[in-house]
Amino acid sequence: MKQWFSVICASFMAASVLLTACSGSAAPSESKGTSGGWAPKSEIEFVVPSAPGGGSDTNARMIADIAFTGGFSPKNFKVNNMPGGSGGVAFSYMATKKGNDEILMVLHNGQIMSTLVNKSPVVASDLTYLPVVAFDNLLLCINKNGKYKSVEEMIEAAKANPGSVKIGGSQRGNTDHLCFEMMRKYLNVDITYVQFNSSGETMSALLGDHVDFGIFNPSECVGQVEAGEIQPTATFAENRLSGKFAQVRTFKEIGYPDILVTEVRALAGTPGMSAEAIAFYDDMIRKVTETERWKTEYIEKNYLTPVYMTSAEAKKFFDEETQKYNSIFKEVGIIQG
Amino acid sequence: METLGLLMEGVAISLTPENLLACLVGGLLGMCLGSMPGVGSLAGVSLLLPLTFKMNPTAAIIMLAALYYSTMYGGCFSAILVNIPGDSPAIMTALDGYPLARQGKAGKALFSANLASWIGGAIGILALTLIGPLAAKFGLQFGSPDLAWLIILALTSIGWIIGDSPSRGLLATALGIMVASIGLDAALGLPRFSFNNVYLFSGINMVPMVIGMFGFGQVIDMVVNRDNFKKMKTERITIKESLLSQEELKRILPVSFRQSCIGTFVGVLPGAGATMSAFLSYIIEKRINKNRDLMGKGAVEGVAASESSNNAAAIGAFAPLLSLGIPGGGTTAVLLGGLMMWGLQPGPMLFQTNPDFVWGLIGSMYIGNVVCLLISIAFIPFLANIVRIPTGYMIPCITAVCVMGTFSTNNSMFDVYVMIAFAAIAYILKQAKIPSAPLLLAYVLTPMLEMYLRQSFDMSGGSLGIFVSSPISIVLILLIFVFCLAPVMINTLKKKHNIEGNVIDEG
Repeated sequence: MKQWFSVICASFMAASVLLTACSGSAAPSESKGTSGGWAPKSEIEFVVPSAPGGGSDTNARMIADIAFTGGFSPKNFKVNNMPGGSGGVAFSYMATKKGNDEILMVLHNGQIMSTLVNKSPVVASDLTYLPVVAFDNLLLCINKNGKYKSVEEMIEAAKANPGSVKIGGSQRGNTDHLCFEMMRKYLNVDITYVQFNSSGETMSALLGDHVDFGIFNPSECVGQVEAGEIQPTATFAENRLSGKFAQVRTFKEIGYPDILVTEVRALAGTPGMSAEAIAFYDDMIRKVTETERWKTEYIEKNYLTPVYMTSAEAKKFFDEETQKYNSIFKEVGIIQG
Repeated sequence: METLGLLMEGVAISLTPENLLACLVGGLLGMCLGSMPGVGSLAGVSLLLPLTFKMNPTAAIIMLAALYYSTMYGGCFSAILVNIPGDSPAIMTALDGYPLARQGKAGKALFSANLASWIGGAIGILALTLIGPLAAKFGLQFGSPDLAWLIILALTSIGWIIGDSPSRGLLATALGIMVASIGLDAALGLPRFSFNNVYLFSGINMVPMVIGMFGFGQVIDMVVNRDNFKKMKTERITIKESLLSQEELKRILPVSFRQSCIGTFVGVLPGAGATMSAFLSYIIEKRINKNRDLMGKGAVEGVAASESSNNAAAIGAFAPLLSLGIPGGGTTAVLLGGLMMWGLQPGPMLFQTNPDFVWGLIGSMYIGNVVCLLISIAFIPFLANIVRIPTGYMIPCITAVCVMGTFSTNNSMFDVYVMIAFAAIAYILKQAKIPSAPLLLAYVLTPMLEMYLRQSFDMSGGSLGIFVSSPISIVLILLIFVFCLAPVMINTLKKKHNIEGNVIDEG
C-alpha cells in the first residue's frame, strides 16, 4: 500500500512539473533584455479582449512572437483571451491589476468606443495608453448568392421594406457597429444590426445566408474573398485599398463621403503603470514594428497601414479620438445625454 | 477515389519520423494535460502554440491536433477515478464513470471510455475525410434560431437529471442560471449581479466552478462521511479484469456508433463544441437506451455516450476550420491563429493551396487515434488502482490538485476562493438532496441560449416567427416535443392500459 502511495505522489509531482515546464520551457535560459532600466521579471501576461482567432488576437500573438524571438523582451508572453462585454470584461480585469507592469493588453479603438457606449465601469482612459502599431480598414461584404449585390440595392430594399436588410457585425458599440450607424444615418435608411460574438460567427452567418451583409476587416475575409464565396462591395476607408481589394469602391465614390471609419490597433497597460515600464514597452514595440517580419507577415498580409506612435503620442491621439467617438455616437443616438 | 489517393499521400506524409514524433508528443502531452483538472484542450493548445512557430507547419498542426483530441481521452481519467472532470466535455462521463469506480469497476469504466473515445475519433476522422467540406457547408445552414432550439433540446435533459423532486431540480436550475448571469452581459456589456465588485465583472469562470463542485465538494464529502468511502473494493485490479465482457461490449458498441455520429455533427456546427455534444449525446441515450434507468448510477452506456461523442466532436470541429477557415470553438480558434502564424491562409482554398498540410493532418489523425488508444489502455492497470488509495491519503492529494488546477488556469487567487465557495455550495446542495447536475447544465447552456435568442430577435425585429421559419428549427422542435412528451404519453398509455386490464380482470 505504501509503495502505491509513493507512486501516486510521484505521478502527481511529475504532472505538476510537466505543467510548469510547459509554460516555462519557451523562456530562454539566459536573459537577453535591454541593459539597464526596467525589464520584465516574469512572463508577461498579454490580454486579448476578444475570442481567439480574431484581429486583436492575431495582433497580440504576432507582437508576442516577434518581441520574444527577436530578443526585444527577455521574457515570453502568455496570451490570455478575455472575450465578453465588448471589451469591458478585459478592461475591468486590467483595472484589478493596477500598477502591475507585467501585463499588457492589445487595444483597439472599437473597445474604446464600446466601453463608452456601454458605460462600462472602466474606460480606456483609465488604463495606460501604449504605442499605436497599425491602422486597419473595414469592408462591407455580401454573400455571392446573397439577395443584394451592392450598396445601391440595399438602399432601395431598405426604403421599400424598412428594417428588412440585416447587417451582421461583431459586438456592439465598436467599429463594426459604428460603420452600421454611419450607414444608417448618412444613407438615411432603416436597416437592422445583428450582433455576433466574433467575426468568425459573423462570417458563418453571412455564408449561411442568415444576414444580408457583413462587416469585416480585410484579414477576416480575405480567404473567403479569394475563394469567391464572399464579395466586398464597399470600404469604409478614405481611399481605395491595395492588392486584392483595389476594385472595392469607397463610400465617397458611391456618393456618401461622410461614411468613414478606420480601426486603430494599439497596446495598453494597467492603470498606473510605471514610467520605466512604459519606456521599456515603447522601445520594445518600436523594435517590433521595425522588423522585416512585422512588415511582411503582419502589415502586408493583413492589408494594414503601418503606423508607430509612442505612448505619449498615443495618449494625445486617443484623447482626441475619444472626443470624436463620443460626439458621433451622441449624434446617432447611441450614447444618450 | 481521388480522396483515397490524397489520403494515402497524407498518411505517407504523417509517417515521416518528424511528423510521427510530433503526433506522439502531442498525444502524450494531451493525455497528461487532459487528465489534469482545469487544464483542457484550450489551455493545452494555447500553451504549446508558441513552441511550434519554428516548426514545419504540417508537423506543428499534427502535434497540436494530436494534443487536442488526446485531451478528450485524458479528460475521462480523473472524471471516472476521483469524480473530477479533467475538462468540461468530461462532465457527463463523471456521472456514470465515478459510480462505476465506486463499485470497483474502474477498469471497466476506463476501458469503455477509451474504446468509445477511439470509436468516436475513428468515425469523426472518417466523416472528416469523406464529407468534411460538405458537412461544414451544411453546418452553415444553422442560423441563430436553429442554434437556440438546439440548446433548448440539450436543456430538456434537465427533466431527467432533476431527480425525484421537481421543485429541488428547478431550484438547482434557477441557481445555475443566476450564476451564469453574473458579470457583464455579453450583448450590451451591462453589469448583472456584480455588486460593483471588479472580480465579478468578468463573471464566474467555468473551471473553478466545476473543480469546486465536483472535486473539492468530493473532498468535503470524504472528510464528513469517511465510513462510506472505506467500503471500497481493495483487491488489485488487473488489465484482464478491466476487459469488457462480450455482453458489455454489446451494450456500448451501438451507443458509441450512434453518439459518434451525433458528436461529429455537433462538432461541425458553428459555436457548439465537445461539451455541448457530450450533453446532447447523454440525454439522447438516456431517452432511447434500454438500460436508461441504470444511467447516472453507473452504466457503461453513459460513459460510452459521453466519451464517443466528445472525441467525435473534437475531430468534427476540424471540418469548418480546414474547409472554410472558420473556427467552431475556442480550441480551433487558437489553431486558426496558428495557421496564420505558420504563414498559411485559412479559407476555402486551403485544400487546394496546401494539400500536403491538410491531408498530412487528416492522415496523422488515423495514426494518432490508434496511438492514443494504445497509450491510454497501457495506463489502465496503473490508473485503475488509484481508487484503492486509502481515503486518508486521497484527501490531501485531491485537495492539492484542486487548488493547483484552479490557480494555474488564470493565476488568480479569486478563482481559488470561488472554487472553495462552490465546493461548500455543492456540499450543502447534496445535504439538501438538491442535484447539482442541473445547476451545471444551466450554467453552461443559458448564456449561449441568451446570445442566440438576442441574435434571432435582432434578425426578426422582435417577431417570434423566426423561430419556426426554417426546416431545421421545425425538426428540432419536433425532437424537443418527442423528448419531452413521449415518456409522459407512454406512461399514461401504460397506466390506462393497466387500469383497463385490471378492470377486465376484475370483471
